Amino acid sequence: MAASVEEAERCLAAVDLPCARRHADGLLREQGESLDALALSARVAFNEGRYDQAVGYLERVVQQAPEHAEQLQPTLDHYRATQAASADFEEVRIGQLVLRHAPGVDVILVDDALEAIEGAQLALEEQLGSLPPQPVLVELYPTGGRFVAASGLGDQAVATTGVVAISKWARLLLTSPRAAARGYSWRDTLVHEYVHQVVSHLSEDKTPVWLQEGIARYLEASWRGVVDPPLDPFSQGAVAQALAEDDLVSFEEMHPSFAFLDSAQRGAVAYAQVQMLVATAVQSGGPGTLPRALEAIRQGQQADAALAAAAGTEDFTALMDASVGGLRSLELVERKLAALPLALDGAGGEFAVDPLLAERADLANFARLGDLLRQAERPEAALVEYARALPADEPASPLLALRMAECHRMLGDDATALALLRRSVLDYPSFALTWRSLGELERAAGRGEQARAAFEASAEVYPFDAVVQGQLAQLHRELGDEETAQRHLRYRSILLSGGQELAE
Amino acid sequence: MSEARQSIQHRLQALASRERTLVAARALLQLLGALGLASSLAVLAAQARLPDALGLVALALLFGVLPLVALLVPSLARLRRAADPLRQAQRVELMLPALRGRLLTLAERPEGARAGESAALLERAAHKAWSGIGALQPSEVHPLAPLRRTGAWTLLLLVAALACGWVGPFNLGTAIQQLLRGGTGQVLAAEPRAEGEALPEALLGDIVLRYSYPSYTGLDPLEVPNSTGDVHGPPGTVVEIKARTAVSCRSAELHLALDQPDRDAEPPGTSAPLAASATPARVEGGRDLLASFELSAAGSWWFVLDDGHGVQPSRHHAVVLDQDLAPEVLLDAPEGLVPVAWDQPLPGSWTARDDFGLLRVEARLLDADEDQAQPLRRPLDPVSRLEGGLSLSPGDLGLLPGSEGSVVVVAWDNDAVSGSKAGVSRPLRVRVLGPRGQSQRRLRLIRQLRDTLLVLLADHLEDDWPPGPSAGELRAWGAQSTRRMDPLEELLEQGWNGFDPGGFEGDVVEAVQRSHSKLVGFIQVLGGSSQPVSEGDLATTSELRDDSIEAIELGVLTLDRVVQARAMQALEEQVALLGEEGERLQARRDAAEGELLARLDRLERQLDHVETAVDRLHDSNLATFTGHRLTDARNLAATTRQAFVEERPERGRAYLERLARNLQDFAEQFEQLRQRRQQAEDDAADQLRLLRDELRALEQEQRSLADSLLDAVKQAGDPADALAGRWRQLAKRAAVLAESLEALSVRLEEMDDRPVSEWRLAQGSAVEARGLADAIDARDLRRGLEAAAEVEWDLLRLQQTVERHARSAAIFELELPGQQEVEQGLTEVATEAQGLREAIERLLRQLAGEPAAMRSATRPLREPQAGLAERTAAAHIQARQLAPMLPMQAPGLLEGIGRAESEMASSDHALERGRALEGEGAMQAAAEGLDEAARALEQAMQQMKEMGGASDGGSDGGSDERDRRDLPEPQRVEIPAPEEFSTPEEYRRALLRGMQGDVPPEYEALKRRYYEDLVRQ
Repeated sequence: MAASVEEAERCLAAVDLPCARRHADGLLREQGESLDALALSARVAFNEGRYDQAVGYLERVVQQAPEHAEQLQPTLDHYRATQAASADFEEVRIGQLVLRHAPGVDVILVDDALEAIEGAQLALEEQLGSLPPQPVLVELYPTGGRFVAASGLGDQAVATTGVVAISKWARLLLTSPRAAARGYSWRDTLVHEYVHQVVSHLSEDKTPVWLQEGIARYLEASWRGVVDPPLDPFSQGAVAQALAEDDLVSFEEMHPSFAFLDSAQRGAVAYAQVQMLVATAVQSGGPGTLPRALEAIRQGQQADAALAAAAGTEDFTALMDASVGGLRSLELVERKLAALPLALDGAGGEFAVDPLLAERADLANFARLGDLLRQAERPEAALVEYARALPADEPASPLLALRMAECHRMLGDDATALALLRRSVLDYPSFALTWRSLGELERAAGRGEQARAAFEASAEVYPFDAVVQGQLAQLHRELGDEETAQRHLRYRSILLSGGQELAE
Repeated sequence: MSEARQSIQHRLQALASRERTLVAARALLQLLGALGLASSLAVLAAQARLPDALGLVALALLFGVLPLVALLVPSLARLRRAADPLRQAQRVELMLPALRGRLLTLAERPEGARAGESAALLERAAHKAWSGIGALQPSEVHPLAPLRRTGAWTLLLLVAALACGWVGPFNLGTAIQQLLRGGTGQVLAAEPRAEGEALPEALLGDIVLRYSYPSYTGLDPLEVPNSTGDVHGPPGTVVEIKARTAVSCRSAELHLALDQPDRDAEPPGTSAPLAASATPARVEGGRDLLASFELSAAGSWWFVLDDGHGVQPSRHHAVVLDQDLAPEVLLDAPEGLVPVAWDQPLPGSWTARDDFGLLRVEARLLDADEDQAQPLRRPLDPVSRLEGGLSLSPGDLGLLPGSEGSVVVVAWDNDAVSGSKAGVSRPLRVRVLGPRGQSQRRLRLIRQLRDTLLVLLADHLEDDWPPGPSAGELRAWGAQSTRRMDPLEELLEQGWNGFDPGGFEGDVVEAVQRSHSKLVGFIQVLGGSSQPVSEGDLATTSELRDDSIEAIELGVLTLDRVVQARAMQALEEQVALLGEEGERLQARRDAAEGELLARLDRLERQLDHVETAVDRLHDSNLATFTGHRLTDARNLAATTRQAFVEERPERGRAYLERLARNLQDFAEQFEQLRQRRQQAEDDAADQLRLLRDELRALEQEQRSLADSLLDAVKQAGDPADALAGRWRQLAKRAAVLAESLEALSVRLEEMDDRPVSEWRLAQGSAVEARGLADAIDARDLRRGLEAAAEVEWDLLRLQQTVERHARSAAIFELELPGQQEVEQGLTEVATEAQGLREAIERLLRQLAGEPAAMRSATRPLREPQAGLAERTAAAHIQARQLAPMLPMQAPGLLEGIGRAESEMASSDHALERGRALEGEGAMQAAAEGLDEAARALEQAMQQMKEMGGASDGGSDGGSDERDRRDLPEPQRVEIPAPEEFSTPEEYRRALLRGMQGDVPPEYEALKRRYYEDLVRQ
């Protein structure tokens, strides 16, 4: 087959990098350093993560065609920014995973990332049919700033939408959970993005956003054996409210990106809707529903029709009705909760990671007074202020619950502290600090298994806490799992030493 | 024995007895005479200045030997002779020769005839002799004449003695003292004599000294009678001496032997050379001397008399110089090294005192020349005491930021004789802070203030509330609460001028103190100790306590914001330095290992600084992020160092480069964060400005709409003027009622023996009446009617209470003070309240019946009014969002907007019903509310700038800095010194003007006292 730019484009859309490489090399051979050959080679190299080459090819394009310099400049800037952002990256290749990360402690994510990707590949192969041919290239950016540079997303866009990972250019770009003060569910996020890549591969990137997000949500936890994961409490509350007010998100609103929805609540409702839509389709169409739909989409069919057809429903409206019915049938926790904000690189202040206090300056003031009193070792007075920081119609926000629990611990009332934290992790399960405190209390109470579970939940969201890793090492050892204990000990050692010895 | 012979014997004995008596009496008279003579001689001896050794001898002779001789020597022999009968017989035979020896014979034979003699003849002789002497009286034999003579002599001698004492310089006592003073002669002998010769001293008595002090002392002349002669006085004092000599003299001189003036400093008793001088003295009547001299040094004076036969000096008298000491200057200022801002007044106050007067007081550096001193006070007239504050800054004294110096206060006296002398205070050691140091110090004080308030807050929050059901328990709680304020007071005292009372921290303290005073003030007037507190009082106390807690909370937050802003700024600065260190590391990548290792050491220290800075920040999010980056840097630095130690330099340099990049990356990220924060702050500032502009615009538009309404009413032909007149009348009556009730409330409070409950009821009525007046002002008749009804009801309760108390008092035969006055006053205000309510009702009825034409005139204005209300509501939402970031939440902002909203609703209601004037009043009230809100916001914005200044380390040159430069410097209010006015009257007038300034009511008495003290100066 003759090399062509069009074919190469198709390959790139299908996330088939070997294919794209073949065409790019073929063009170079056939045309020498023609503009097309150089431009394609630049794109392919950029997708492959070979930024020096990508920048070199594009610079030669600009040299040869200065009349296009202005047009190409943004792309060239982006390539260079990516090159700079990943300049010191170290690369780990294990199985089907190529993980690039900054030198240092991010290395502790390698094992967990591999576990997630391998698990996901197994599940996705089963659920979707096939995977992109090349190993999964994951780039783990140590800071939000570097992620912004490499992703090409604006600083402001990342700040307002809370995007921490994208699947683009055949790569998975991820912000290290270390950049977020409380961490985030980074492995679900990694797999979520990987699902996007697989869906793009299967549909040659023709799948619309709503279906992309629906499938990704449906399968993001598949690496840990959970398909169609339950909605988190925040999403449940948002959906319940939307259903009660008959205010679901339309498909038009979802276009072109979920990031443009009005609020985190609307985003949660939209995600829940599309996840339920996919789940309803799979439930209706049985195994193979998604591969069939994606194949039809690849072949040019409209996504809604393709999905309805694959699901075997009369039409998409029927599928939608069924999915809304499914939403209504869910046992939703009708608690008004705030969405956990994501604060990167230390931005946003003390309460930036708290869903409520970050938004409510009046309540944050009471919390600040409580903090001052707690630091002055006046826990009783601090509790009065924290109580005033409680919203009238919501449970305690995670940071508030955590600090109230600390006050109770200072007063020797571990039972109340424990109750507060248990309640809080139900409402906000992705708040690492709460899990950590809970683990400490459980461990102090001699409940090793509960403590281990709590510390693991904490490490899952934020693995960079040396104390948590140390606790996990001890608990696993006590529970007879020496291998896991050793792994956590190693992580702890890396965290304390900065991971430099592994960089040798 | 025969009878004759017996009688003769008796007669002879009688004669002997009489003679003995006479001799004894004469001896006594001789003794007295001798004493008189001795006295005279003693006085003469004293006047004669006998040699000292002879004084005692003379005394012994005169008062020992002479009287004894006079008493005994003639008398003893006479007494012995008087006892002999033969002597008596001889005295009689001499007087009666006719006896022809018969009596002698009988006297010789007292036992009868001797042997061989005729007894009869002896008897016959006895008869014959007795017949001769029988009629002879003893007084004829021994007459009184000699005794009288002796008595005359005695008298003469005694008179002479008295005359000597009276006439001469000595009386008997002083003469004896003179003779007894064995040492006098020795002292005088030791004193130097101008002539160098020992002459007998002339006697002086009745010394009178008159002092005329130098005019600069302001002392009146002083006369000292019966002086010892010793002279005391300050230099320049003129001393006039009057004295009387013992003996007459023709001329006299006053001699002075004084210390040399240039040896004044030497202590007395040292061998200072003496300057002798002599001036003629005036002699009056031969014995009265007059002379004068001016005190200039210590020494002695005496007269030298010339009686024509020679000169005789008097005794020397001391001249003691009372030195006019240099002023004493006390400095009440902190001990030790005190940090002071370059441009802020020095701490502390001074007091200068002088014996006679102060010319000026100034401050200067300890080691500076006098001409570099800066004046503090220069009184119009010299005063003996001055005091004041150190109003000068280190900059005024020539100190530079960063330097240290000792400042002294120097006071100069008005000594016109020996020249003005300076008194110097103890030094005040200061370290001069530049802008950065000043900022740090202020920040430290702000942090201390925050922490102090925090403890106060914690104490309040941890209290059980209410503390108990009785007023006593509440009062005990109030007392405890007041004690809790002590640390705050102490801090304010310690902080002296570090706090700016006019700044945000001043507002914080004032708000906390004011709310606390209100709370405690209310608790103090609750009922008896054991009485349960009523629900209403408890609710009010709880509200006041909440207000107090809120004031503390807002204060803590406001101060904390400054502390945190500065901590963030410090961290940014440290991280920027870290970035620069990274650049240097990268640039010196190929430098020698030694240099690189040294740079790594420096980096470690810089990392410590960053760590310290981040610890001070209350931002665990940023702290976590920074902590990661610091850990990375430390680990990389350690690995780099290890590589060099292991002699793998290339690997070490590679690590070094990575480290350098990481540091720069970190610094860049931090800079981005800073820019983001700055952007957020700028956005917030923009929002505040927009809100302020919107509030001002709303206010203006609301006022314009009110004008439009009046125009529309006029065009509609409404008798607006008449109605407006009634409104004005109502408003006036309401204001008068409110004032009357306030006066009544004050009067009841003043009457100590009246129940407190009456005062509280009156106070509540006054508050209601003020609300009534406000409602009328706002043309809100409905609210006014409600308020009027409330006032009436309150007054009724008060009347009933007063009557009940009077009845209770009568039962116990007591009389409450001012009962009649109170009842009469109550009746008057109750009548007025009722009249006012009826007037409002009438006006309401009239307004309700307004013609349809009026409604058509007012209703078109509802739409613009609704537009304003909508915008006000939006402003209210925005204000609520922005308030938490404002100092103390900008008191008055939300309240003002809320009031405006409420009034706009009233206005709409009135417009809809065609009640033009009511609507206009509500519009004006809404505009007032908006104005209040805008002013509160403007003040808060100003304070925010100030807070930025407090948290500014002085290195920032950004836009904020420019803004701050535009702000006027906070001016410390100084009380002008009297001399700054050309006349004292002007000064007093200025003070009286100052007295008219507004202060909180609780400080009114203090202010008055303060100014009164100043006026008295």
